[in-house]
Amino acid sequence: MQCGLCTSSCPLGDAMEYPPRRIIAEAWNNSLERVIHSPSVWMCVGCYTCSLRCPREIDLTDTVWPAVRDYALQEGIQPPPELRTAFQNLYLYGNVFGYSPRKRLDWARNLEVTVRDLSKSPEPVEVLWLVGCYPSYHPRNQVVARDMARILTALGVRWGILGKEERALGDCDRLFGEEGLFEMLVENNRRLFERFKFEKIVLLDPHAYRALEKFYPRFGASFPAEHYTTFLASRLDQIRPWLKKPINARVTYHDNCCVGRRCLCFDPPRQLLQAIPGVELVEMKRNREHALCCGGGGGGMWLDAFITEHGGRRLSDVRIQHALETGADILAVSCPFELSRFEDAVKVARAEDRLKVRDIIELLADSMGLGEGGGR
Amino acid sequence: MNILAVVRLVPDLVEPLVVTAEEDNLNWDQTAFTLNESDDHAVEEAILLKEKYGGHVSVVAFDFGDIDQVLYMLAAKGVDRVIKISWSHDEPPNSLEVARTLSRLVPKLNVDLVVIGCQSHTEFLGMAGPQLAVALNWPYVGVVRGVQEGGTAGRWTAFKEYPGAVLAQMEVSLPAVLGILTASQPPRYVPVSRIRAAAQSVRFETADTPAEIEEPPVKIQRVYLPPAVTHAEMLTGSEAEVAQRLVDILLARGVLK
Ligand code: SF4
Ligand code: SF4
Repeated sequence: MQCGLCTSSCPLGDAMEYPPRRIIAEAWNNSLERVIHSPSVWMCVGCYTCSLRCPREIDLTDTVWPAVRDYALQEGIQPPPELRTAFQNLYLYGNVFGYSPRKRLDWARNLEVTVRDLSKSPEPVEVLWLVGCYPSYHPRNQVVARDMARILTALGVRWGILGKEERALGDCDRLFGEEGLFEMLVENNRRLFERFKFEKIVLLDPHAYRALEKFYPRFGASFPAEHYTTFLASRLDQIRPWLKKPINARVTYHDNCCVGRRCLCFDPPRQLLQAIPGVELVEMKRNREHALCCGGGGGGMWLDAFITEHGGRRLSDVRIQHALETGADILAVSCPFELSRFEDAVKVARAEDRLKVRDIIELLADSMGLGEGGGR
Repeated sequence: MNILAVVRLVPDLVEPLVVTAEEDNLNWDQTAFTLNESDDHAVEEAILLKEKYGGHVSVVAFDFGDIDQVLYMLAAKGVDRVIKISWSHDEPPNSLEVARTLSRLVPKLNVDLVVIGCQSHTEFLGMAGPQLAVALNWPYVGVVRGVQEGGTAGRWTAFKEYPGAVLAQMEVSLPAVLGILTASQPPRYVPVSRIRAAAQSVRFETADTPAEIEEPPVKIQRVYLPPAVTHAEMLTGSEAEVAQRLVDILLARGVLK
């Protein structure tokens, strides 16, 4: 149809030599060879805006881009160095950082609630919680992991984790055309999950949730899964009596792309925030399906230098201005990437005294009197 | 040109190193291994030379740890022939064992050039390359950052790094051993699908028994982890004060003169 809506909607479309519409035109002309030698091939950050807006429902994000990148990799085109390192780390260690799998449980050291490590003592649980790479290893996100453990325990959920056996689910690698790496992770994870008895998997990482929900079943790995926002929102009646400490603040919420735009799930995170006494929820000018991506998805997390060089901006720096315009005191997020990206962006904007970035889990835990930031 | 690249596994520092109770060695049972970084560069340089000038690249490795996975990856990158030398110990071979074993193997392989990482953190002073060259009676150039055809009288040119940012262009007659620091470009990334395909198709060849050395000429006296130092000074004050304090520290430590 070549309407061009994909390109005009893309937050980096103006900076791409080959934006989505042109890629399709080049594919028609059998000249994808040109595309794979252009920096454009690494510039899509998997925000799903083009896919959502395409009137022909062409799934550019999940289908066209990975196919072009797979072609590039098979032709020997080298991914930018940070992305290459992330791939190698995933292949060797099962996490993007290249840290020891034995350190997966470091976040829970000295935690006062009981952590059921199923890799040590397998027992049936209600919730298999996949903690994720960032909450396991990244110090700022480890706080969120601990608060989540406290909330699950307070709600009486019988939960367990996979400890040092947990590995990344893989999503960014799939979006970046590393199908073989994704398949390897799926096979390993399928064998791992099948060893345990659980009712559902709960995840903090929306990208991992999306991969498990949509792409794992294609490899015969179907497991019931929920992102934590919908899981906790479905238990709001149980949570409400705990929410005693007011958080007197204006809060704006950034819809992450995978749970938000891709799964059209906009209300549960807002319901959680609005249940907290004292919270005044304000919306950014671009919200819900029109929210601007933080730039971290689809491997963008490891392409900041590359995208800034070729695109001239970091999307998180643009998005933080939207949050500041609302006059909010707190930017609430529900994705482990966003915490670090937006905290950096707040520093870049020199707005540390005006705006704090907090995961919804932290705000809930604070109001429940359980959180590390809430003076337990 | 026929090139042989030597690859060695070294302790993977992603995992904490464990020392034996006697403090006489690492506890090899509890050690994870990874490909020695400069050997990875040596293979890359070999593949680049093959792509530029034609020929074949063989890789040889001692068979322990997860060496098969490493060899599949190298095969996926473009290595033509993979040779494994049996090795029944948990501890990697020392440099003399590497050199003596290979000095028996290399003459049977019709090789023009041997490339090996110029160092590995399981050996003293990066000796495996020079020891192999001595055993073969071939020339050796170490700390090499790139190789090309085109010296006088059929010799090849190796670019060797010296301290003080000096890069020397050295002519070397073949056959030779080169100790590679870095390849002319970073080791290439190969998609995992290629590695998995290589795992299905690659056939390993096995070579002679290794030359083991009962009494190594260099004996380790004690192995211990460096004591942890937990001192950090937080610099406070205005930007100018912090900058001045930083300059003072750098001057005091001799970093700035
Ligand atoms: S992919 Fe969809 S949005 Fe893009 S040009 Fe084609 S029809 Fe339009
Ligand atoms: S997914 Fe987002 S970043 Fe990628 S091409 Fe589509 S609109 Fe652009």
